[in-house]
Amino acid sequence: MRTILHSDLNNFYASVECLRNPEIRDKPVIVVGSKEDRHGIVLAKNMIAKIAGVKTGDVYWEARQKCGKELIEVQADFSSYIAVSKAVRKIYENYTVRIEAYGIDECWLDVTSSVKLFGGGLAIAEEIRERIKNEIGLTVSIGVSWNKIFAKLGSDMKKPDAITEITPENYKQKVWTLSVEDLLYVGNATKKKLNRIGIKTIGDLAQTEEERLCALLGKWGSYLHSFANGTEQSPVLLVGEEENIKSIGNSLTVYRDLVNDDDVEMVLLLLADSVASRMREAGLNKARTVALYARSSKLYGYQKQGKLSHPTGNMHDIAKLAFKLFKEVYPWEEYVRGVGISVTDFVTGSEQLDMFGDLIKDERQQRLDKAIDGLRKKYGNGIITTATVLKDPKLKELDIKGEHTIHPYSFFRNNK
Amino acid sequence: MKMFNYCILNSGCLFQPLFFILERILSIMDYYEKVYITVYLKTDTDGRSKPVCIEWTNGKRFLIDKIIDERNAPPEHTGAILTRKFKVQINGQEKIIYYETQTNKWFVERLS
Repeated sequence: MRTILHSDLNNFYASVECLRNPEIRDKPVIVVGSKEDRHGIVLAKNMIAKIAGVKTGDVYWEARQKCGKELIEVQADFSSYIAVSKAVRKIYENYTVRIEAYGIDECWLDVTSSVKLFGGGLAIAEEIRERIKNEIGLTVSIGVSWNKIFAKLGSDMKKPDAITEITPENYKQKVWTLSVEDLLYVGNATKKKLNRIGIKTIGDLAQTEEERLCALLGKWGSYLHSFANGTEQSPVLLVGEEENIKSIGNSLTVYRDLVNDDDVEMVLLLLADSVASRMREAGLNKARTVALYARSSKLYGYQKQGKLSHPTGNMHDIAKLAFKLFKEVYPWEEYVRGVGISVTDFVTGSEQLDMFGDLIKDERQQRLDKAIDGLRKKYGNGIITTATVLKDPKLKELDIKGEHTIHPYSFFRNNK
Repeated sequence: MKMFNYCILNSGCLFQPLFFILERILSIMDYYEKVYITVYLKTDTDGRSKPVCIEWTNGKRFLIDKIIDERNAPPEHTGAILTRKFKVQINGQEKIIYYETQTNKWFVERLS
């Protein structure tokens, strides 16, 4: 049986800010994106703000209403967060090489081969917790279990600065009693579907026949069934594996809500431009699959992916498919707060020529892309852009490619 | 003050939360500030650096007799991220100096 740890830095961004500036520690603190551009949603909050009812994703004035004048707003400083995250990872590396990051503040660690050396998973978790507190000054919650899903559930159970072990003996009491939406990948829509057939807890889910779940949820039914029963086997990736590029993506929270299809199409084009250009930079010419992610103003997420008719690195093709996916998946019940595109399934080596494709057009496009890249390299990313984007002059100023984007790696990234 | 805190920690009594608040109030009373200082480093042939002398804000220099301990640790009273804590001996006295790895600056904590 494996021993897997899931380590979650408590209120990460806000904790780093409190570490940097201890005077604000006893006040409600929120970390927001840039206020002027109205990316101004709450990215993180400390315990006091959390108790006052502030939620991640609130707009900053909503947080102000909840906390009153005492509220401290700090602008996010991603370079510091990344540096701290790296320092924490260095600590993990003392115990295993199998570390898989899930976002900037969470990691899975497979310590199976070092448990004998340190005296068990719980002992390792305890040592890591102590060291992060003493060496960095942050608190961490760690879940210890035999699979990634239960380890993650464990780290969510007790916060902050705590360790929870989930064993084959106690998982029925500890995990099965939890509500079904606590399980990774059970979002709002899935929860509703499950609730409708009487599945309220993770235990209910585990005891439902797999076939019934599959009939309801497709292949996800069988994934969730294995999650709930602790039979999920996905490996924790090796440190080195992360350096392999499996997907390239960009997402954007726009300075204003997107109110119609035209707006969305425009932003998707911007994103596709950035993605295509980053693909070329990484030496990956063509991709087969495009995934779209949209976030509504109430912060519900929608996603869908689709295959391109032929592998391509062209921004217009990527944007076109992304927009098609968006139309299919987004119900337009609320305005759109943010969208993201990522491409996967890169084609490397020789490829089969498309019989009906236009070779000359393709080559022309490639030459154009090259020229655009050259211009941007010399004068900056803003020097040339598509005319569609000019409809909104503020969007034109955005430098998506230049900005940092941080989002969790997909759980199934390497299990395809 | 330290003695008082010590008593609280070891009392194990029922009023610990109350004491916790009291301790917080007291800790606000002794207010520490960060003072950045100039530090002279010696780099050996392996590329490892260590502080050999510090220069106080008034320009006065103090030689470091020896480094007693060196570890990654946050400052005790002030704010900074990713610091390295050096316990050093200067003129026979133990002092603590911090190195901010992000900014490449050195500082000490001073009771004000």
